[in-house]
Amino acid sequence: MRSSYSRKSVVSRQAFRKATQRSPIFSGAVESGQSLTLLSDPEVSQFSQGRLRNSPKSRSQLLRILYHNQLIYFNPANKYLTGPEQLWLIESLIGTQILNKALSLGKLIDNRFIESLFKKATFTFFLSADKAYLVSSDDELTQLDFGPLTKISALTALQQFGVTTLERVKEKTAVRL
Amino acid sequence: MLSDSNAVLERLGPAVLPFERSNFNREVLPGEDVIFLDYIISLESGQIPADCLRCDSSDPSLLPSDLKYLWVIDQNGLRIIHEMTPNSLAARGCVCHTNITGKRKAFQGGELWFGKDDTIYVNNQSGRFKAITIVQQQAVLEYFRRLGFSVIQLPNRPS
Repeated sequence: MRSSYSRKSVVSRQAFRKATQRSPIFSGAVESGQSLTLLSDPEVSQFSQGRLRNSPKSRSQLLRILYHNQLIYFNPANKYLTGPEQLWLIESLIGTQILNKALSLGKLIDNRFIESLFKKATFTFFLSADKAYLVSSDDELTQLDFGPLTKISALTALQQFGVTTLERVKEKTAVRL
Repeated sequence: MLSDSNAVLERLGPAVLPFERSNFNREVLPGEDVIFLDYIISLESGQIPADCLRCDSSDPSLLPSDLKYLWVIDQNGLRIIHEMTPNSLAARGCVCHTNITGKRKAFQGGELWFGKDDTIYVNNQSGRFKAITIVQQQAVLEYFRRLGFSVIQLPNRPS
């Protein structure tokens, strides 16, 4: 058993094998040792003992991961994240504290969990006048570049454009749709 | 930092923490605040470093992303880093503006390309330190020009 899980995410070896078959990015993330760390199934079980609340019923189809020291379940069938290696996109948009608090209450990352985070989000996005760009703020310079902007909620933006595009907008201020 | 730059800095600023000007006001993710000292290049000399990557400047609308640098103006002046510099400490995988500044404040940030004719093409596309007013955008150009660079403002509309 590793002594510390701080700032690391853990996934069972069996889940890892499945995920790497599906996603080469996941494999890279694990190999880099920065965001995901392997645990054997017994290790995951030991870690989870007495710590899980709201455990999902059909665990066999879910990936068990340890994210910010919390054992959680990731539903690969969700429509927003291709794998747990993309959880940082949610964290980048929502914020570490809010995500950690949400994970402490709900241990299953699925469509409902992700949408609930964005439904409560205080930030919004904006569409350019020609609807060709999604931008992150409405200010003098942005209006000069993109024309009058139309505000859309974080949840609507999530459902229309997906997490990767939204994180790109946050990081680069604008994305061509 | 420009010695007679108080007026310019006033128009650039105020200096802000990462994301403070955006509506994503929050902490920097792990690894994104690590300062990549060996990869950061200061442009305060007013000279384009000889080993900088340059692009064909005949069509600014087709500037290649692999030749892109991130720029920041903070208390240490104008500094850049090649955006494709790997950052294995961050989930993003490559550097961002706060890998120049750490978690500290900066006046402005954006992206730039060096043309083969020594022209510098800049935009204000930084989610962390973006300009929000025309005055700030103009002050950025003035800062570059006062260092001695020939600079062209690019539209902040990604292609």
